[in-house]
Amino acid sequence: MKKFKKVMAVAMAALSLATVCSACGGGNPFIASDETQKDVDTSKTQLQVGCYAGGYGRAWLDAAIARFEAQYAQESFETDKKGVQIHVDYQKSYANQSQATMDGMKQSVIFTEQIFFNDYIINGKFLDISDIVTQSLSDVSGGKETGKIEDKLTQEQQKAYKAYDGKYYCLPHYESFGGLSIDADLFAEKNLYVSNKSIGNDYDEFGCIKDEFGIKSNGPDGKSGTYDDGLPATYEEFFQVCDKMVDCGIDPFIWTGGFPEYVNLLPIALYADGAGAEGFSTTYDFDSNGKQVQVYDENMQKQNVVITNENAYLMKQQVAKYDAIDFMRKIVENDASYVNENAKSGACTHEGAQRYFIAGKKKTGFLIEGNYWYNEAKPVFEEMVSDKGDEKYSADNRNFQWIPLPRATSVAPNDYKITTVDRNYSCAFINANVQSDPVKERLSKLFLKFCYTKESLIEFTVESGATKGLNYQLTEAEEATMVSKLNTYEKSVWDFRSRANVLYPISDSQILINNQRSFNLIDADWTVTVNDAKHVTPYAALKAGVSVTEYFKAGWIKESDWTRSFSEYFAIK
Amino acid sequence: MASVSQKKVKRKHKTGQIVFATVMLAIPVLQYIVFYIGVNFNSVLMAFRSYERTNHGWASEFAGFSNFRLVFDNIFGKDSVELKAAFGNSFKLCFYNLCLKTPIALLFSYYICKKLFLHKTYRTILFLPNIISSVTLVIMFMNFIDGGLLEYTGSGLINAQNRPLLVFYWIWSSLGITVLVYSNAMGKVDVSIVESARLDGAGPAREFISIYLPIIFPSVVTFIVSTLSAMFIDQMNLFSFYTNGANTEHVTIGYYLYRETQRATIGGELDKSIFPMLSAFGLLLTFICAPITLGIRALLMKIGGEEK
Amino acid sequence: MTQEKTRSGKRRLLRSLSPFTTLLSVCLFLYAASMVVLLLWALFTALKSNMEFLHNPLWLPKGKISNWEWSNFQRVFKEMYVPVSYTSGPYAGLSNVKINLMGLVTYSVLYAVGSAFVGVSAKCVTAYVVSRFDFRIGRIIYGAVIVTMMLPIVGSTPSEMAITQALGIYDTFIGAWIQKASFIGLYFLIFFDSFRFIPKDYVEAATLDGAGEFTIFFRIMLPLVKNTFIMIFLLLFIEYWNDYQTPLLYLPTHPTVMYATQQLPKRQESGFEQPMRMACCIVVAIPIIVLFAIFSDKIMGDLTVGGVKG
Repeated sequence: MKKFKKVMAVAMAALSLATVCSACGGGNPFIASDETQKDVDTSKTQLQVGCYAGGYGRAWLDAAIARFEAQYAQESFETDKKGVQIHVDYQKSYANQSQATMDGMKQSVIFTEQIFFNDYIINGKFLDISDIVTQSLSDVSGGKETGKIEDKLTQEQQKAYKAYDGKYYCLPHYESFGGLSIDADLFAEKNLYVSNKSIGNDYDEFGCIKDEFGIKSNGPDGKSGTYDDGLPATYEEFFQVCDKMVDCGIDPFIWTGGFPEYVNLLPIALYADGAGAEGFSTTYDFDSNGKQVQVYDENMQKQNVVITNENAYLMKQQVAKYDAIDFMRKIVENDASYVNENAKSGACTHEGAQRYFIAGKKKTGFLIEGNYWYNEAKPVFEEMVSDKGDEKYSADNRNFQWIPLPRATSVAPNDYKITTVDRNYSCAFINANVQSDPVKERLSKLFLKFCYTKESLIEFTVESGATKGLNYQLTEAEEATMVSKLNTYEKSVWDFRSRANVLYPISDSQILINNQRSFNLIDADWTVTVNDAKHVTPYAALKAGVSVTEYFKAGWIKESDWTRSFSEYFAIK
Repeated sequence: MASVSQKKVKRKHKTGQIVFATVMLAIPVLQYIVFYIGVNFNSVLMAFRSYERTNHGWASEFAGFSNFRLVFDNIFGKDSVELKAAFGNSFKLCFYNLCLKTPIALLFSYYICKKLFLHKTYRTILFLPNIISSVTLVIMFMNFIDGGLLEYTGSGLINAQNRPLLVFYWIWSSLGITVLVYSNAMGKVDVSIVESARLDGAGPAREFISIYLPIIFPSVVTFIVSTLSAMFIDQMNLFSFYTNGANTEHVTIGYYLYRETQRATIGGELDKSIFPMLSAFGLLLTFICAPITLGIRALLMKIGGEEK
Repeated sequence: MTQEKTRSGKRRLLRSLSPFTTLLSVCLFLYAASMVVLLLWALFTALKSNMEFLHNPLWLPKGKISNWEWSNFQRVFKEMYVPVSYTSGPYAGLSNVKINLMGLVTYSVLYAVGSAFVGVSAKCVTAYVVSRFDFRIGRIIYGAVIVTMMLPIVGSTPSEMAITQALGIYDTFIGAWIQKASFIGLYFLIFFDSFRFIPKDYVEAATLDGAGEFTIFFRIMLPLVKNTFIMIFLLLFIEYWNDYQTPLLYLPTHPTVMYATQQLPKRQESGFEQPMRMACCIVVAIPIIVLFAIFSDKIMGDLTVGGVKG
């Protein structure tokens, strides 16, 4: 009986303690506190901002806020108050923000990603910000800038953002494109650069330079003396480099195995780069604007077609997409020697893959990641510095590079243009619920506008190493100053981006406006079912024995389906 | 006079008993009425209704057999993949349970019941997976295979959704309770029978087959019946391994039902639109499972009896 | 006596040397080894830094024990949390609100202790009434238990969720407890048998002393089945502590520690790699392992077919 009483007493004590705990604090002690939260200064007007810190970090926003608060320290936005205090919530992701919870949200200005903005605009969740986009920036830039934000947007962006009713409701935030990164020091050490075979025969069996004196090839752009010299220009060259890596004991590929769909970053990038703007943009505006696009027909014969809304199902049949899948085939065929085991491990996080790429037991050649990975991996570099006790392992002292991708066939230097696709649907907007408070509305608009001045854009790039989806409109001197503040990797991203035609998968097409979610490049385009089995990546599919053609064709849309759904796609839901 | 007072006392007792019983049973009985009878009745009703979200919350209307049609489409339809595979997998799991897990468990139980070398340690270790939660163990296992051993295996197995590995884990982690129950049941075997068999020259293998197996047959029957009745509930740990990302070809009915129900809770508000289809599916499954279970139970009881 | 013991020991050893038992012994050894290795690996991994794990994923952490990464356990207390979205209550409209470890443990205790207590009480009380009084409802209840246990009903969870929501107890602990206040199940039969075999004399003596029904139950009968009560309580407690699937469905804004554990593989925060994951797993398993260490003989010894002896 004693034991019985004891057990029951302990149980009841635990239960009552738990009940008291949960009741008294109203839930508060259970919520992880955000240690970065500032104390409210009641003498200042308050503004709440939400930001998804993710791979881009928070340094850029902290810096922008510091400048904004200083700039408006003497200005009064409401009676008896002077200056502004901005609080940021970095805890929530806001990605795919539930529309139902937006009305009650206290954050007014939001910077996040994975926002299919038309859904929100249709439901009136975003504030109309046309005024700040189309008016001069001189007020927030202290007279330094007279242009307007709208000028920094491409024609396509302008059309897409205004598509719903001719007004602006949101602005592009950061750019995120997928692709490959290399460790330039490793490339130099192991002579992994492609040799210029037209000059002498100073190359090895893999077509790579034999030693540090070897002459590098012209690279993808076909011009010597540029930043991409020695990098593989064609798929063929690329896989020769891979073979050399294997020969040197290097695993050519690594990506995060914990999120297997990450590998899709590569075929998406190859597809966009291979198809070019006119081809790839058909996947979100369903129109090649009168230009010819190369597609495969039912019998796998190449055809040149003009894509319009009526035959837009052909967008899925592009030759460039097939080539990208075929590229993955080469990887799968050499899976055991080409792919590091961490890419196949469900326990490997994205940081785990970055860590392995930076500091792994075995060297790895190409990291498949988003352009933002370097900033995300900063804690890893810091750990490595403290582990090894040497500053040469810091993020600023290592020489990683973002590289342009090879093509299925080589391109004449004059026709070469990098195309890449920003695939994260990142944007900044103001919650429509600020309309009930004119002070908040004014302040929110002012702050958002402030974040799009030239100074803010540069600051973003310097702090995060990444770029925003706008034309910075820099003078040469301004660009040089900015670039001098970047490390090797960040410079390579800037270099790549300034040469590239960056596509934003948004358009003014009614089909897209009503169904942006369905045309999401990551999931919708690469998840297919072949012989009753679902595959989320071509890598997984080919590994499971699916052929390139089977996988390619499984992603097609039937003409009849497209025609039948056509009217539905146009319908406003 | 005495009898009158006795009667009074008795009546008082009776009243006391009724009051006591009413007070004590009120909550459990009410609970049963609402959460067993009510729930199942409502489940049948839901199978014939459809839910739609309106501005004023959820509206429902009579939907005839459309939910059942949807279920049949999902099972037999041209493009249906998942449920076809799920049925196959659930039946296969049942088969593995009977043909792999049960024999292994019986053999291990025999060893433990005979108190052979290290039997106590083995018994405790076998029981550990029942103490450590399945999800904790899954995560340890997953990281061990795909992290600790990765260098040696050269390729992760968890992501590849390697089927033999999943089945192995499923057996490996669930042997304990079965072994414990069997070995405790075997402990009841009369020592004199074993001794006399030994005198007749029977070795351990013979002893296991001829004496222990027949005696614990009722326990085995109970286990077979419970396996069958859980046929459409077993998730093969898929949700613990992959949350809602298990490959179509591995999905079991139990996993499918749980995953779909759980999906309705994502987003902070209960999404009832999928409930009718799931209820209809559940109803169909019950119609398949109940007769099989009851039939096999009756059959096995005829052969060798079942433990009470 | 000692001689006999040695002889029986020898005999046992001899028997264990037969090919059949040797094979079994090897299999069991392998099984046990795999389990022990896994648990030790988890423990050692929890004591490595991420950098060390990169170069030494399998073996013991290097260096002195005091230099092992004990701070991982400290981090668990700070960094183990579950993000929750609220649609009502004081946090309405907030998404990704992070419930910390203190919250998770509290919710686990509320769920597991409360549910286990309610569950064991309902079964005990009902079994007592049914076994002691010859009321018609008792026979109906007994019949209901048997039929319910035999009839496998699949897929009634959505209906149950709809009903709890209609009753306004969805996502509340009261609701979770009420759902567990069921008398159905094997444990009912175990209580039923226990009460049936208690001699009537006890009750009669008490009645003569003028004890009421409540006194008889709480003062006499309940103490007699206390062991069964504790065992079933413990078994239910372990079951509910380890259960993440029910809270995931019925308590979406009251995540428990197991619910947090289930989310571990998808955690993307910096530094949250294998060592931290293993540290989390070990921290959440500790209460149960301690409980098991104390009651292991009871828990394992009393299990007969799927249940507990009285």
